[in-house]
Amino acid sequence: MAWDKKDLLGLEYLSAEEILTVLDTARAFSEVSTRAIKKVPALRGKTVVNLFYEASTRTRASFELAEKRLSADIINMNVSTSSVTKGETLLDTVRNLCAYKIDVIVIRHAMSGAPIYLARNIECSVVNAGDGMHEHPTQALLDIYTLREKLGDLRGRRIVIVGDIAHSRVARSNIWGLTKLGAQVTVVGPSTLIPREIEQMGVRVQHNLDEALRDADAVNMLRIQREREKLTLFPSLREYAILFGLNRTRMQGLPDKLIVMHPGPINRGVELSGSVADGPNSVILEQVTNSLAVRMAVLFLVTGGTSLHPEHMSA
Amino acid sequence: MTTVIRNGYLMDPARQLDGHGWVHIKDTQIAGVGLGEPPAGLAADETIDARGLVVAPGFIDLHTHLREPGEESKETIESGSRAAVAGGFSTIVCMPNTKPPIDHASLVKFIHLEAQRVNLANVLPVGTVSRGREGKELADIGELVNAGVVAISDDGAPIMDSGLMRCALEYARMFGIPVMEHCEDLQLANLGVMNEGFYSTKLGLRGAPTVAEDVMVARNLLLAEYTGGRLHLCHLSTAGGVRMVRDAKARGVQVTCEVTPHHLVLTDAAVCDYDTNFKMNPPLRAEADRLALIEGINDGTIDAIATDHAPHSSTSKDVEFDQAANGVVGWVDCSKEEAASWCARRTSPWRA
Repeated sequence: MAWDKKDLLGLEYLSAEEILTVLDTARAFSEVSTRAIKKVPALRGKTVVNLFYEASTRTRASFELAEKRLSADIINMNVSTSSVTKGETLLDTVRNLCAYKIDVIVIRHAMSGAPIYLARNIECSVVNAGDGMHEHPTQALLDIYTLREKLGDLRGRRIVIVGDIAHSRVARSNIWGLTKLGAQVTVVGPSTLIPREIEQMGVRVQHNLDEALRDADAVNMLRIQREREKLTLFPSLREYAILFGLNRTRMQGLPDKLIVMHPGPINRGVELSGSVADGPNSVILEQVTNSLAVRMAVLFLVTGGTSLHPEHMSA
Repeated sequence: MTTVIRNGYLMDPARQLDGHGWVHIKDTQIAGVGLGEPPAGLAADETIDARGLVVAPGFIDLHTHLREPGEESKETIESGSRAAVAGGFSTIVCMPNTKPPIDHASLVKFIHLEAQRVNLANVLPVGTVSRGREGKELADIGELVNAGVVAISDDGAPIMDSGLMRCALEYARMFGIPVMEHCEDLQLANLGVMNEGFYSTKLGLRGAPTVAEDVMVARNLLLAEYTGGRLHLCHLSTAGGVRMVRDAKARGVQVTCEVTPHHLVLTDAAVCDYDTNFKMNPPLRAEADRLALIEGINDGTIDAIATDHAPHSSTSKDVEFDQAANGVVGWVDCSKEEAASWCARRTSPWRA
């Protein structure tokens, strides 16, 4: 068991061994959600604050359920109605929360680096639930967990990430995690949405989706996030769907076993057609299910859990 | 009261002094300087042994922000003068991006009066190019010159309107003063908070590309060549900028330029843990740019090192990286021991 960190800030900062520790711990927790009474006492007496500065439905619901299934006490901070609108700084808000002697802050923030800035300044654990265009480590961990369920060891496996790589924290976290576990990662997207010098992160860049997918084991179709873009970076969603969308016709020329992933929420008809999203290659809902076990594992580890004892898992 | 400084290393390019020597001070005036040992019989009430030290005339800083009027919690003419003198600067040129900006003769007079009251450093104000520093119409430049500005600049706010820039260069030419320009195409910079490259990609921070600076350097050089106006390029930070200035100088364009110490010793790798002390505009660039700047100093393309001293309060810096103010201090009012310990940690920055 390799874990001595108080925070989860990004997969860049974890070793392969630490990533595997999270995934193994998640595997142990996955059984909890299949029980009649879906609750274990692993985080009983711990307080978790979900501090979301950016709209989120599934990540927040997933964290909240994971916390509840671990028996943590939780607070959800609705930031649009909190003191943030009164001009309080992020650090002041969080220091006030810490004064309640909380154990973990799960933070979603529109600015890259905000969780790192916080972790440097406070004592309680910080879990990054997505920061700007930087990282979304729990999403990548659940993507990798799902891939390992399907493919086993990822060494030498070919994983393709498609979409707006430039603005995607999911892409960055996946790139760090997958490359550390030995997978070959290719990023595909319009040249205006591939950030400069990304090859230095250990990936290949492609602009032809059919070629990139020809020998791929899995493809992760990112959501097109028009709200993040300040320039007109591609002509239209229609053209995007033609060049970079996955639909039934395109699937016909691709390997039968190709695993199709999506971090959600899907823009149906843009990056994925309905038939592919709901088709036999899609593992999208499995990703959502796995998110619980992965987030339970992360919360357990950052609060000092080292190994799972039977009492953590008792019903 | 007479003082002799001896055994120090004299550096004074204006007098072509470069070697061990002595300085004789009578009351508040330099009475004599020379290389070697002081003349026999030179009487002095006090002798300072400057062995191992450089003795130089006060430095001139071409690019500073004194924040007064308007942001006195960050710096004032008094605190800035004190810090400048502590750092060896006796003449400082202060930029007009104050609140209100220095776009009127009365504000220039205020700076002069305050600098005289403080009486520590020579403070030379720069006036704005445009009224209100808004980049729309020319400020009363003639009046500003009569009041004593040494240059005009909308520093911090690049002049995006090429027509206005042309007029500024042409109009300022009458008075023989330079237009000091912060080169940045705001559309290309795209609200970038650091240099665009591997580190901005990795950190997920919006990048401002070198080309945002380069297209404006190119435009301004073309306009200076066409109008015959005097152009001074502030805080050059890119390899492309150095190359274009070198070519322009060879063609006889009236251009000078400066570089900051931080662009000479640091790169965008310093931002790696979102430390807002390394957030400035222009941003820290890549290693190839840094090396090109050093080459530009060594071959004379770059005329000056200027600090762009830009102090901020901790409330402007102790925040998320995206929200932090741009700028870093150029001088610190610190003890000799502190300064020596900083210097000891750095290797000579002037070697590529």
